[in-house]
Amino acid sequence: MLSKGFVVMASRQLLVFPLSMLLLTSCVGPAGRLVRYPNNDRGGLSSPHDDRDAHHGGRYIVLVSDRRGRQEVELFDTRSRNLISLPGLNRADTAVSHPSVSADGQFIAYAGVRDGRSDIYLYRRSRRESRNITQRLKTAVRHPSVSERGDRVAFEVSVNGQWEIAIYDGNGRPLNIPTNPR
Amino acid sequence: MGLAALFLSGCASVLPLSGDYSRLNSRFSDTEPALSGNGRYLAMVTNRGGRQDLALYDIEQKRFLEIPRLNRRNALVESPSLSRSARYIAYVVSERGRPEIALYDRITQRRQMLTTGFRGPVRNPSISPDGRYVAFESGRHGQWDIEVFDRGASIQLDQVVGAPSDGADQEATPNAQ
Repeated sequence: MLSKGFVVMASRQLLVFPLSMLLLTSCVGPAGRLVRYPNNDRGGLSSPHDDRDAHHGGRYIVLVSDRRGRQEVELFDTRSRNLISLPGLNRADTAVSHPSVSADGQFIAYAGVRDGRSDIYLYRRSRRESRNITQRLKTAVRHPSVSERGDRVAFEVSVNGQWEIAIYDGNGRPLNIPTNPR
Repeated sequence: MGLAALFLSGCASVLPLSGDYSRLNSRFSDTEPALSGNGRYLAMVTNRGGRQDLALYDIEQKRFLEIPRLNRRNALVESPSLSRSARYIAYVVSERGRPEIALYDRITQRRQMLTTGFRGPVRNPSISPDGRYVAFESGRHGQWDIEVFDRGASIQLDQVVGAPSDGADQEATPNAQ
């Protein structure tokens, strides 16, 4: 009974197999498909240069790109399918990585290295400025992640030679959690 | 019999959670934090069990939640990302030498591979708050590009009933693109 069922299943598999192979060449597979976003230097989600560290905020996708000749944070709007300018975010004296964007595209948390010091910054688009939320932490930090409302940021902090997790509110205050580095 | 063996090898053995999960941080390295959209849950990679595991922390209740069958004996997991209420976890899993992007559903407790058959290396997935889209890095053009995977209109979205509408508004019309 079991083996008979298996034969039926197997023959069905054989029929489906070439079809699914065909699908795989054009897209990823039956679990979904790839979205075709523009790929260019001007307003594309990706470009002919390195594009990495993407965070999908829902409407907006934030990433780090080399397309302007240096590593910069870019914000892509999936509705207008274009880049949104981020005045005041990318600075010549700061190396940026790991951006993360709120649902409304207003807040971008990112890691920045300036004068050899690593910090987590929270950029507010309406104010055109970044706030350093880890000014009081003396150790290395990296890899921030922001909530949809932009009111909570988790990141890695180096404590006694190993990485731990810290969770802060949007004002740079540590949440009251046991072992939360502060 | 052989068939059963085949299924068993595909079904990875379930790992008992070992290590000290009483607190957010441990004596071992805890890395790659990812907040859920609503800010309540945190996914991370932890070495507290003597191996590299994904863990899910509830910030409100200050405790870890179980994610059955996500961590497997023969698999290396990394780079977690959470949807709005942490229903979906997108992550990278390496089981047969090749890193793939997987999606775990906490309601069905099942995982689905998203990049099987995809040409070139993949890494760093990030799932949209509603759980429909997964952005990731693809190296198939000889450099890193961002690709976005659409799980389709028929999936169950991660929508929190009664959640404040700001931000969630943005997600109400994902088909508008």
